[in-house]
Amino acid sequence: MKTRNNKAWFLVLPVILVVAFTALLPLMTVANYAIQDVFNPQSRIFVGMKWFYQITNDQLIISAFKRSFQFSIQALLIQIPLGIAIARIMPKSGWRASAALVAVSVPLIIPWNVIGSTWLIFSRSDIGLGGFLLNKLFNFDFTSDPKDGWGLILTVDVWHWTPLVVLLVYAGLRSIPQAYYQAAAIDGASSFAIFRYVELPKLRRVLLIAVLLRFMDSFMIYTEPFVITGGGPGDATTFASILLTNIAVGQFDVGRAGAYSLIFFIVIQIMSFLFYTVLTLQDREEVTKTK
Amino acid sequence: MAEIRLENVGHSYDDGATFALKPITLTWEDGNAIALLGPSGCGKTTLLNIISGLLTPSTGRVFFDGVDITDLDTAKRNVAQVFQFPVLYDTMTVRENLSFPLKNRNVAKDVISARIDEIAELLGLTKYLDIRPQKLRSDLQQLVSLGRGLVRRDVPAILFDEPLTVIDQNFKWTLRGRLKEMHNSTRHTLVYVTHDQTEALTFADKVVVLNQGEIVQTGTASDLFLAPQDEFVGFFIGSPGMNFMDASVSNGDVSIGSTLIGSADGDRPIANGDIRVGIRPEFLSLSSQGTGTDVKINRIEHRGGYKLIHADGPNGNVVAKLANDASFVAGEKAHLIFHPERTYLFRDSKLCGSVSTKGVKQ
Amino acid sequence: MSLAAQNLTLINNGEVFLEDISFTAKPGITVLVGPTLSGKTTLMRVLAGLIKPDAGSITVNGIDVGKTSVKDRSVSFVYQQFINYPSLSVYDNIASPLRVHQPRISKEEIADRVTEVAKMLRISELLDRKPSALSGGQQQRVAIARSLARKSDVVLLDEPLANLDFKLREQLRDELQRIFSDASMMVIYSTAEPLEALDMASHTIVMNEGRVQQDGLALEMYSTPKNIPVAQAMSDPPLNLISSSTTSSGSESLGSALKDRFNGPFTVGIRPHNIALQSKGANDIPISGKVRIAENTGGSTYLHLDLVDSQKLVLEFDGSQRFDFGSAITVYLDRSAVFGFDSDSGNTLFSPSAVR
Repeated sequence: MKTRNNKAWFLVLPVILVVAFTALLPLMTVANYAIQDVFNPQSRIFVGMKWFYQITNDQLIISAFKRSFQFSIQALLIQIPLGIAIARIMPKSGWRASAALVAVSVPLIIPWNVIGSTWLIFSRSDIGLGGFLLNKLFNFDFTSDPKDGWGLILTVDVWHWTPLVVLLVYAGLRSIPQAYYQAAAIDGASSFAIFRYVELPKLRRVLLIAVLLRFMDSFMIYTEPFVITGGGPGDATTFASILLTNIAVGQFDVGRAGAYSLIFFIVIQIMSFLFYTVLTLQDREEVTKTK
Repeated sequence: MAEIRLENVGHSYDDGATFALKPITLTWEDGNAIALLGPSGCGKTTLLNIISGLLTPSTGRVFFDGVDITDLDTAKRNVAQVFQFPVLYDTMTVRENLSFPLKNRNVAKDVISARIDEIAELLGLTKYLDIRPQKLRSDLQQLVSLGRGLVRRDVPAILFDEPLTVIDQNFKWTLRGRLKEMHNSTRHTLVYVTHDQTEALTFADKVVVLNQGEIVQTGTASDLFLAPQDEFVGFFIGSPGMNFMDASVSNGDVSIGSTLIGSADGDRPIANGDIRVGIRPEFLSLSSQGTGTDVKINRIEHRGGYKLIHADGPNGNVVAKLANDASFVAGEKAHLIFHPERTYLFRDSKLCGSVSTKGVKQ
Repeated sequence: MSLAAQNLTLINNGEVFLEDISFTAKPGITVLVGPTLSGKTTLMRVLAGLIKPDAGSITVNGIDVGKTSVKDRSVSFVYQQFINYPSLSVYDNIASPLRVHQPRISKEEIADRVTEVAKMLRISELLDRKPSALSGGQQQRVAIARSLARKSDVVLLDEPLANLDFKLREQLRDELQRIFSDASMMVIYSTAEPLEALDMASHTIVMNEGRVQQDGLALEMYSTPKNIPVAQAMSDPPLNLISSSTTSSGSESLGSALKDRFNGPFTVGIRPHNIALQSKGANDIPISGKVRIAENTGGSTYLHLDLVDSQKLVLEFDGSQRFDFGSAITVYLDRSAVFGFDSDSGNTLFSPSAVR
């Protein structure tokens, strides 16, 4: 008889090392900063939990978090339904399906700062085509009107990331066996009923992934507001990550930024966990399947 | 309920290069239970999907009660269809699943609930009505699927695509009986696709045997069993299937090798030459006395209620189905006794006559 | 060579999947018979080492394999679904387990073995094809060939024919019997169909509700089952079960007509083909009912009757005959073919004296 073979653990070792260098060590560094006040690389003092107390009472930071949260919710409310709608009307097979997939994926393969610059120019009311027209029609100016600034960033995010939802949902829809559509046709189900009772339940897992990804990314949005509005007008688009950079890089307040980062990290973890728990509630009910 | 008529209906999945279903013309009377029987890939499911409208035929027209419905989509045809594996709406309870086809057609609430109770009773689903079908075993799930097919009264036809595949052996018997009983009382037009001869034969008024995209024979269970028109039907119906032996006809006499077994009897005189003798195991017996076509018994299968005697025949294995008291042993020599009315002659795999043993000494 | 299971028990979430299973399998075929969810597949998976039992042991050739990992056991498994590697040719599919075998098998030996099993399963001319270009029956032949080529000590076949057409099943069953009956390996073959067990005519184990109900020869279990579950598992069409208090003819009950066999209330079991439309002698027990449905298979007819107390009876007779639904009819039970079961425990009180 042979003893249990433990060789497999060696195969996992490289991954553990990579994860340690890319995630654990930086996180530890941040945690280290978070409990110190750093004046310059040579002089630092231990401050304990001071930064954490300060941050949780800082109105500026709290409102930045609120803003990010609001932005994420709005992004989800637009992108998920829109993504489903687009995926549903896309061609199902043949060259048209491939063409549609390529067309939809374009925003995903453009570098983020290029997207920001493009939209920045496009939306300027003096030289941008879109901005000029909107300015004439609705007096649009994202550099001075906070609502316009917010709307623009939201639009850019929708334009940039709805395709991801479309791709996920499209893949999900293609994996639904044809028999379900056939049965629904036999049962005389309307197009809405097919969506409600066949597609939506079968897309549940895919949508869970889409919601999680989109929540995390939109909550951490940085590049677009940085390039387009710089957090303005006023602090209208100063999202949590913009403020973090301002503190860390702008003010070089490394200790405070470290604590901020940790809180940011924890908030995202908690929110993702909540989404996941709510969305998989039904799955766990099914585990108690009667045999 | 409707009469179903197909005119020159055929289907090709590859733009006419090969036909999965070769063009056929037929009429099925209103209220009949029809079974489409054949091996996998014979075109039976293709035919079913053409009738339900899930597939548009490459050629030909489909009529319900004389009305051309070829271009009508599935929902408008109003037919019911049950699939091979459970197809259920995950978020609905069993009751909601069953009422879905009725709700979609705006049937009154009290009518729905009465109908659900009736169907649940028929299928033994009453105690599961308020739970989600996902929580049920796969055979119970299939019953829910089946129930959704049976729940509507006003359908021109109910179509079944191998509906009992996942049902437990013992329960199959009960369920098939209940379906038949239901058919006796409602007289819906039923079309039932299966590869299982017992299911097809017991369930249907008329069985259509398909092979390689063509209808080989249509008839009642007795027609197919007692008088197969084609070697394929002889082989495919019956378990085990028909025995076939090479023989020759010479001036009306049929001989296997050099042994005369009887005289050829056909509607038209049977020309001299090679021919095949077909006889079912049920009609073949063996004797160790006298003379005849010699065989050597190689295996005896005791199946409980009867015995199957496998023997090395003049060309290949022959099987006889005998009663439990048959006392042959493997290795023993015996000769074949052909049932005078049930021994058939086939040429080019088609039935051309039978063997009459009148006046021939065995 | 032998495979032995001792007191195998598997409990999951308080639900008993296997309970105290013990048996010994010798080289050749051992058939596991039982209805869906009787625990056949679970037992197979435990034997393969895919599930660890909560109690009990498995020994192959006298050696306990409980701690041996699946890949080190000499076991091959064929599933109900046809599982092959879609991107490999039939040849490579069959050769794949041999190529990763330790100790190494030479190329020539692999080629020899593949050719040999391909010939045995009649797929020699398909070796260059991909599984997707094969029919269901051919795909299952490939899966079986792969399990044979390994020459493992134990071959587990989990309802290998269940997904095949009726006729193909008949054919392949005969072939499997020919291939495995004189094999030197232990073949465990599970099925829900009693006919397969009777056909294989070998060592048979009847399972129900996670327990071994009876262990012996198939025909033995057909003629002298220990209890109702075994009698049912070995009957297709299903065994009729009616109460001995059912009125037979006139005022006499079935129980009193059979009191020479057992005195007291019991459950009467009789197979459909042992009930006739005509009396064959004074030994028959008449019973009346109403015709519910008649199913004709061409060769024979299954007549379903409603008896008193919503009891049901099915009889099978050769040929066909017309019946009016709901009409009254008297049929005859062959006394010598009747089983008696204890109504509470389901244990057999008496069996027919001969195979019926």
